[in-house]
Amino acid sequence: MGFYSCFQPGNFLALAGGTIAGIVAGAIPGLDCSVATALFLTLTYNMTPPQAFVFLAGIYCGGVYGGQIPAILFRVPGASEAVMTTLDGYPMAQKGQAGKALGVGLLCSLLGGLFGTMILILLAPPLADLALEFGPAEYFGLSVLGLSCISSLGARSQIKAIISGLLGLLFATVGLDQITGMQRFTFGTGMLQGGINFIPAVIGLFAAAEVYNQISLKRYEIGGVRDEKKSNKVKVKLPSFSELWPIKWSMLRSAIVGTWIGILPGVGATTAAIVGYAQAVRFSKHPEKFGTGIIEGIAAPETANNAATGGAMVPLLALGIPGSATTAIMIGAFYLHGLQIGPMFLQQNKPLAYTIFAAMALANVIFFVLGFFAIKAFAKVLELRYPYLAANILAFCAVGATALGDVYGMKMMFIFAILGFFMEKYGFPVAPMVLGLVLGPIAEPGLRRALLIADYDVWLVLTRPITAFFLILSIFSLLTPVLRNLFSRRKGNGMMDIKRQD
Amino acid sequence: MRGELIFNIVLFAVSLFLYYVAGTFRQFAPYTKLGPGFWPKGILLGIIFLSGILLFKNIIPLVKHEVKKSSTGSVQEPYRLFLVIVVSFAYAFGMGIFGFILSTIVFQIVLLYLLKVKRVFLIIFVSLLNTAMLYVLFIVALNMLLPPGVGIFRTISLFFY
Repeated sequence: MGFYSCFQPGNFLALAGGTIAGIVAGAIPGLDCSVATALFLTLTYNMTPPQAFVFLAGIYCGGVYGGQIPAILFRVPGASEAVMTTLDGYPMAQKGQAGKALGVGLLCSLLGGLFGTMILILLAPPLADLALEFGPAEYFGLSVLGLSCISSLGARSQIKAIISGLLGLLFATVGLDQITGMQRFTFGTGMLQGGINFIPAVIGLFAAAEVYNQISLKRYEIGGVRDEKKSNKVKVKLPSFSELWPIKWSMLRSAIVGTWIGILPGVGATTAAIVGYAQAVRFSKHPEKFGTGIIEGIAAPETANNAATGGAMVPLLALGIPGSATTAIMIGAFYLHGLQIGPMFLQQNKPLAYTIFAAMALANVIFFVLGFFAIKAFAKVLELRYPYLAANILAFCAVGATALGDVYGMKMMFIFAILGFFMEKYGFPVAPMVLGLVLGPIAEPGLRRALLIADYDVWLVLTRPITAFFLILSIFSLLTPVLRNLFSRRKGNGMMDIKRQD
Repeated sequence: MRGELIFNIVLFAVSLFLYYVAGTFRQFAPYTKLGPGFWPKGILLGIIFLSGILLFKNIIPLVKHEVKKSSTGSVQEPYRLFLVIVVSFAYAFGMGIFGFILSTIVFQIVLLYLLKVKRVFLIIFVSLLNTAMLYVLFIVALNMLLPPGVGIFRTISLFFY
């Protein structure tokens, strides 16, 4: 029923168009699937309900995938979901394996997306029931688990990685306090009253900071990317079975984690990618290799973030609660077409619901096929001399940051670019800061609300079963690198070293 | 080494200052224990403690005259990078005044010149081409609002969007 509906000409065109739009939006820094969904929402008014929802499903799946393309090629995460992919994707590209990196990302996105969709179809009702058990304490525990991988991301110094993570948590407090509405660290400026927007901060920390770094190393004089890569025409190369088999459990864990996190209301593909990567690091026999350009470092976050797309649709369709920012915007489409979203939606609109399920699956296949063509178009950019690339990237990032509403975004972006440049220069990794920025708004209100509910009884909060489970895992995750260092016989063994590729 | 020491000093000092600022956040009766300053102060205490450790580690070699060569790449032509950063901020502030199109064109021209692109034709062509691509993508295709500028610059921008 669902697939039959999706293959109707009008619906299929809408699905393909949405997927293409999603890939493009996801790949452009400053845009992501949630922005694209909001932009194209009004376009769906003239579509039939099936066309509208398959179009938006295509944008969602394509958008989450698209962010990895510039992340791998240029260290510019196109969307927040691709931030963790940058950590291993870019170093792999720097080693002349851009094609393989892109192929791993493409295939794992497909597999993760199909896994998430399969779970959506099979387990929508019972999974949504379990997610209702999550309270503020559980959200706090989940964010601590996500933050616990900071120590594993420790560059030359775990202290610096933890400081970076704490800075991210601190930046997340800027603006209005969620509990009391009090302004914090705004210093009376309009720019800070809305808080620090995640997208300009990430664009600045990764993309613009990297341009400054390349300029500081005089890369513009040797032709930059073109000279170094002229013998490596980027061609998507799918990983072989023998390359994927050793990381099968990591991928499965990431898919499960991603789907589950996608189901949780309010947390989406970005958190899924972070936790997926963290779990891959934690369970790996060689965690020190993460950040140096390994397949697992791309496979884990990309499997998780695309799995989260299916998961995010579960609470939306089962309860009417958005599982992510993008699905929150999708609620607008239900209202536009006079549909009542809520627990009865699945019962009362089965044909449409199954069409959406099928569209989520097909969108993953479509972006897999389209991915080959999109990647070749982006790879052409590698042939440009670096000054042209730098001008383009900086202008693109600046306009992308501004497109969120005002020039404050651009100013914020450049401020974070300078911060990111100096942080990397002095050995402070920026990835933990991004973790803090994403998870801070979840961790802080979760903890404070949980303590308020428990009348400040900390023990009561920390011993809730699910919270305790997350916190114990977090402690293991935090201590594992330290213990590994203590017991290691070889000097420097066990420390992951994420540093700029010079 | 010296640069890292300065960075750590700034980090330590700013953290201390922000801890003081967090202490001035207004408290509300039901939330006195978990007021708006609760979480930031906890984070800042962590930053102060850890950055203090880093400072200690930075200062000890200096006291013992054991300065290690920095393992990070040194900035080559720092003045050029400084100019690029200045131009970036000028672009950020100028866009609100001159509008997206004009400020983007000028920004890229200046940036390409600073990055030693010598051919004037290429500088202008690439700047115009990039700006046109951004215009088509953000304004035409995605219908996004970008700053039009003020005064006569706004009038000029309105010809385009």
